[in-house]
Amino acid sequence: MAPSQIRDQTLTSLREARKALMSFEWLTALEDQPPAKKRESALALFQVQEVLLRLGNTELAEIRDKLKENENELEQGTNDLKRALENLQNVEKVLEAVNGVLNVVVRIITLLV
Amino acid sequence: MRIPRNAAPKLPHYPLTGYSRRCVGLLPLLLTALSLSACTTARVNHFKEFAHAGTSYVNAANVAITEAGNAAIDADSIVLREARAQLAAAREGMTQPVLVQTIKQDSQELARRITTHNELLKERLQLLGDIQVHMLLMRNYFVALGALAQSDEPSSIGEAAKGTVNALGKVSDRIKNAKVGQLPIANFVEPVVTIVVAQFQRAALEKELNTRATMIANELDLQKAAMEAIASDMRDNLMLIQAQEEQNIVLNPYRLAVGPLPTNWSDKRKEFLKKNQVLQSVEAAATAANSLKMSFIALVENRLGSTDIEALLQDINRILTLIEAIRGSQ
Repeated sequence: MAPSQIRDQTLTSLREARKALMSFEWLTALEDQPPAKKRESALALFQVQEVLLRLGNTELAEIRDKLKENENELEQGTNDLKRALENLQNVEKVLEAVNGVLNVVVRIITLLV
Repeated sequence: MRIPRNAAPKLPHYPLTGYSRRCVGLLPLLLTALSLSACTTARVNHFKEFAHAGTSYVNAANVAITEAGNAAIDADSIVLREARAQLAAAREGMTQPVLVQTIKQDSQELARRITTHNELLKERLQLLGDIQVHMLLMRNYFVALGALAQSDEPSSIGEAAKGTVNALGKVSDRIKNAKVGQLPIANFVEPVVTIVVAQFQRAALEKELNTRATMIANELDLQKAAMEAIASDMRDNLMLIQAQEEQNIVLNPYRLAVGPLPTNWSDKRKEFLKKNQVLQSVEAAATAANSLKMSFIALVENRLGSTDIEALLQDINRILTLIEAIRGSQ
């Protein structure tokens, strides 16, 4: 079994354990238990929650690190797309400039004729 | 029976002037360009829709991640409170010297636990924040993709080209009077230039797709993994929060055998039972990430349809409904 699968299974089991330790049935049953059992339940709940947070953080950190590996290329892609848009806009600028020149030429020709 | 080679009927011959020849020569080009136009527009629209869906996904997922962080803190607080209450319950009936010693011991235990949990939650929030920052980069990518796909440059460039022809017409009557069929040439220049520029637009989009398809596919896989992990944790935390609410609002008042129930008890119970359905929407965050990946594959394979995008938008809407419900209940 892959480490990630083991972790997923552990996470599922821990979540179930947390749910059970917080359940109405468990808390009702605990009322009649001796102090030592109540204490044991409290410490187990702390521990389960702590391990849940740790494992969850490890999982997220792994994904975060892999996502970060893509960041340079993602930025490169964004820049390339912006450049392509600028190129399209430049074509328009050239045509506008040509139009401007043509208008001047037309006025000169009109005056000469 | 053999048909003599020269048996074909003779067609009437209309001599073409230089202009007419050139204009008739333009017609097949125009027809080809117009048929290309439909394909190009459809393809560019695929990019536009994908970019729009991608941006919507990132926005919704970002809010969901914020709520996942809040749910993690709330659930942890519930656990800490409950465990603390159990420790207190365990001290009931202790004799004075043992009680003093146990309180001291419990205080140390609680201090250690709260510090550890705070550190772990800070780390969790930092991790979620890092993923959100990364998602902003992804959003920028989708925005840039959308800007290029939605650019109206082809039409504005077409208009500019028409202006150029009109200006040339002032210089030369030959250009001014040139016609394709019955229409002045300027009327054709605009659509043709638009189409040609749209081809550049499409080519730029395709080039981007070809260059980075593997990275984007990998990115969307990681997004899916991230959203699955976040959604799975969030679902359990929300369930814990709701269970606590159920206990405080519904179960505890009811099981107290003495005294009347609060007047709004029935309404609160109904509200709680209905809220349970919203929890199912947590999965939408992970489903949306998967739908985005599926849409991307469809885009790469040039078969992105409106149903792909609709499914994705439905998932995104389910995320938003969930968040509205969470925020509404706070």
